[in-house]
Amino acid sequence: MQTTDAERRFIEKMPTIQFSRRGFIQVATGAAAVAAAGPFILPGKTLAQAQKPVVIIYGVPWDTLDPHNHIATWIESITGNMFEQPVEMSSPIDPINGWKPLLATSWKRLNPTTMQFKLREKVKFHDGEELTSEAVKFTIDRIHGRVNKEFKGAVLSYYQIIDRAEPVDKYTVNVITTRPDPILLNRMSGFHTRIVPPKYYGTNSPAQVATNPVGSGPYRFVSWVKDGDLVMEANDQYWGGAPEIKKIIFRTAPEPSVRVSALLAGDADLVHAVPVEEIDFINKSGKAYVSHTASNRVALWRLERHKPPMNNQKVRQAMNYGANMEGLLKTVYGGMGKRVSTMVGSWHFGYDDKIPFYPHDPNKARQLLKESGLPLPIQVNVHTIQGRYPKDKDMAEGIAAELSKLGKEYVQTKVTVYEWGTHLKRQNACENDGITHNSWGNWMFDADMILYPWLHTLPPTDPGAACRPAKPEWDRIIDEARTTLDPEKRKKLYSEIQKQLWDDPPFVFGHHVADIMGVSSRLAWKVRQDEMVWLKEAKFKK
Amino acid sequence: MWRFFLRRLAQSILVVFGVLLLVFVIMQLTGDPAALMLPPDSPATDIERIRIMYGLDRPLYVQFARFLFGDIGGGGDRTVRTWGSGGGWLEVPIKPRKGVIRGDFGESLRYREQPALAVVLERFPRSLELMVAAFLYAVLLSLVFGLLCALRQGSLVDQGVRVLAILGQSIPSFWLGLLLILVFAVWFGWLPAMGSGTWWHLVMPAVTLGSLSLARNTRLVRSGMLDVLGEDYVRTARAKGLTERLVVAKHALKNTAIPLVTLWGLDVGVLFGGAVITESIFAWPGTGRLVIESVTRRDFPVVQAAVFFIALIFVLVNLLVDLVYGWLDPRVRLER
Repeated sequence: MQTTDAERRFIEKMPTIQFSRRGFIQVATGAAAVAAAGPFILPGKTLAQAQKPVVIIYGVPWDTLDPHNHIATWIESITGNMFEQPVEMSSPIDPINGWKPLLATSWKRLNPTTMQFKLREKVKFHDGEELTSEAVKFTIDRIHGRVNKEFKGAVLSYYQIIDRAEPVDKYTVNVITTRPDPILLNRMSGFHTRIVPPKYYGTNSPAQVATNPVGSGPYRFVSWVKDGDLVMEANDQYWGGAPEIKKIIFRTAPEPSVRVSALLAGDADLVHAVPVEEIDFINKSGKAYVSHTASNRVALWRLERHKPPMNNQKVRQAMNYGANMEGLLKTVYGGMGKRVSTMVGSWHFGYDDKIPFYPHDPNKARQLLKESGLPLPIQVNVHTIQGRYPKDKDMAEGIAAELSKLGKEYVQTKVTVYEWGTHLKRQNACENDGITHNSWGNWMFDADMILYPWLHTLPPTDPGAACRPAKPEWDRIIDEARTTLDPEKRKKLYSEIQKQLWDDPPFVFGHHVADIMGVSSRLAWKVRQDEMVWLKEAKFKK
Repeated sequence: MWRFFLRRLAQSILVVFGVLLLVFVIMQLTGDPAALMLPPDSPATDIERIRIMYGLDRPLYVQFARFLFGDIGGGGDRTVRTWGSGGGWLEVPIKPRKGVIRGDFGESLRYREQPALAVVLERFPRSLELMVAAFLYAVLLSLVFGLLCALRQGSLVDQGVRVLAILGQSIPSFWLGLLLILVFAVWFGWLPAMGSGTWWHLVMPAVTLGSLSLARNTRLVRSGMLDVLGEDYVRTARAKGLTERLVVAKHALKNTAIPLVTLWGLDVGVLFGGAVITESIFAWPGTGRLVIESVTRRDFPVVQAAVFFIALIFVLVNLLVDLVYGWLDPRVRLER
C-alpha cells in the first residue's frame, strides 16, 4: 500500500510524540489501527484526509462576516463560502457567456429598467428559513438603509442604481433600476447581492450578524476568533449537494514566508499571495504545488497630469514607451501577470484586442521628451506601496530603473514607498506628482467598472477630484456606454475610448496582477481568475 | 507607606493620561479612517457621512473632550441634518459616546458596531497566555543559567552561556521567529508553524518573545550573584558551615533580587512591545496583532483602548514592583 501525504506527515512528526517507550507503542498501535481501518471506513480516501480540516491562509485579516459591510475582495472570497447570490461568473471569466445560475435559475429583461429573476426553489438558509423573493427584496432594502437607518451597504455607490426589488410570486422577483443598466446581471453576481435571510438579519443587530453570519451557501458558520481561526463546516442540506471537504478553517498570517512554511509543514492546504521567488521552492518540495493565474485585478500606474511634468501629453507617452512593461513582467514578475493595452482587462467586456501594447522603445521615448518642450532632465517621482499586491514595490522600482535607463540627461527618478492609509490620503488630497501605483479589482468584469471610477469627472468636492484624469469627451463615451443596452454598440464605444486613451495615456498601462496560491499535495485545486477561494470547487486527490 | 502608595498612584494616573493624549494626537495625524472604510473612489457625501457618524468631523479638542468625557447631556439617539459638500441634505445618525471615564472608548471602526474596549479585552487573554509563558521561560531559565555561570565563573559553560546571552539580545525577534519556524516546523515537523489552540502552538512564540528577556536576565543574575558572592556576609555564612546550596539560595539569591525585580517590571513593557512582532509572525490572535492591524486601518478607538490598557498594566506592574522593593529591602521603605 502506498503511503499518502497525510500518513507521511504523520510519520515525519513522530519525534514530537516519541517521549517514552509506552507512548511510542500507544501511538504506533493507534496509527496502525487507523491505517488498517481507514480504507474500510471510507473507500477511496484515507481517514486522515477526511478528518483533517482544510486550512486556508490569507495574508490579510477580515473585519466582518457581513456580506454587505465590507469593501475587500478577500472578504468577498471568504464569505462566498457561506453566502450566495443570484448569478455566478465562470472561471476563466467570460463576461458574455460565462454567467451561471446560482440562487436564480433563469433571468430575462422585461424592459430597459426591469429584469426578472426566477429563484431556485426549496433552498434553505442555514437557520432553516426558506429562500423566497422576499429575501431578495429584503437584501436590496437592507443595503439602501431601509431596514436599519444606521446600516447601509459599504459599496452602495455601485448599487444605488438598483432602486428596488419587487416580489412577483414566491420564487419570482423583479429587480428595478433607476435607469437602463447594461451590467445589472454583473451586479447580481456578488457583493451587495449576496442574499440574506430576512428574519435573522431583520431582527438582529448589525454587530450580531457581523460575527454570526447565516447564509445559504455550501458552508455554514461555526466559529470565529478575530484575527484567529474562522471555522466553517459543510452544509449537508446544500441545494447543490454537500461539499466533499467537511470542515474548513480560514487563518491569517501577514508574513509571506510564514504562510509558505505553514504550507510546507503541512499546517495549511491553501495559502494566498505566495511570493514569486518561492514558487520553484514549493513546486520542488514534493509537499505542495503552486497554482497561479493572471487575476481580474489590473495594476495601473497613474500619470499625475495635474502637475508637471505629467501635464504634458508627450511626456505621458514617453513614460509608456520607456517603462518596458513587457520586460518587467518577465524579470520582476517571473513571467506571470498579463499585459493590458490600456486600462480594460483583457477578458473584461469591452476590451479591444486590436489595440496594441505600448512597445518598449527608448529612442521614441527620448524623442518625445525632447519634443515636449520641457527643460530636461525631467524629475519623475514614483509613489508606491509595499506588500499589498504581489511585487508592487518591485515593479515601481523596475519602472523607475527603466526610465532612468533613458539617460540622466532625460529623466531622473525617485521612488517613495508609503503605508496604504497614507498612500490613499495622498491620492485623495492630490499630493502626488509623477507616477502613482494603483490597482483595481474589476469584480463586474466590464469596462464600465474601471473606466467610470478612474476617468469620469467627479463632483469638485469629491476626494481626488482635482487630479482626476477626466475629459468631457471621455465622460460622454462612458455615460453613453453605461446606459446603452445594445452590446455591440457598447463595444464600439469602449473601443473608441481605448484608442483615445492610447493616444493620450492617463496611466503607464500595466498588467493583470498575478494571483499566486500554494496548494498542499492532498488537494486538487485551480486558482480562479476572480480571486475567489470557494472550497466547494476543491477536491481531495484520489 | 500609604502616602508613598498614593503619590505613586497619582503619578501613574498622570502617565496614563499623557499616553492617551499622545496616542490621540499621533493617530489623528496619520490619515483619515473614514476614507479607509469605503472604496477608494467613494463620493464625498459617503465619506462625510462616516465622519459625522463617528464624530470625526468635529475640531480635535472637541473630539478629545468627547473621547474623555462623552456627550454632554448624555448624547443618546441623535441625528444630524447637514448640507453635504457634494450637494443635498445629509441625515446622519450620530454614534453616542459615554467617554473614557465611563469605560467607553467608542465603537471600533474596523469591527463596526463593537465597543473598542471589548475588542481589546476579548483579545487580551491570548496575549496574557503568551506573555506568561514567555516570562516564565525567561525568568526560570535565566535563574538557572545565571547561577550556573556565577558559580562556575570562567568555565566553558560560563563563556558559552555569555555568548548565547549576547546573541539572544542581538537577534531581532522576527528573524529568530522565522528561523524557529524553518527548523522546528518545516525541517523537523515537530511544532505547528503558526496559529494557536494547543500547548504546542505556544512553544515557538513564547521562546521568540522571551529570548530578549532571557538574555538580559541571565546577564543580570550572573553579575548580581558574582557581586553578592564576594560580600562579607556570604563569607560569614560559609564560615558558619552552611552548605553551599543554602548559602546561594538563602543569602545570596535574595540579595540579587532587587535589580532583578526591577527588570521583571520593565520586562512587562518589553513583552507587550515584543508581542506586537511575535504575534504577527506566528499569527497569534492577541492584543499585539490587534494593535498592528488597528494602526494600519486607522481604527482610532481600538488603538486608544489598547494603548490605554497596556499603559495601565505597565504602570500597575511597576507600582507593584515599587511596593515589592520595600518588602525585599526594608532600607528602601525607610528611605521613603
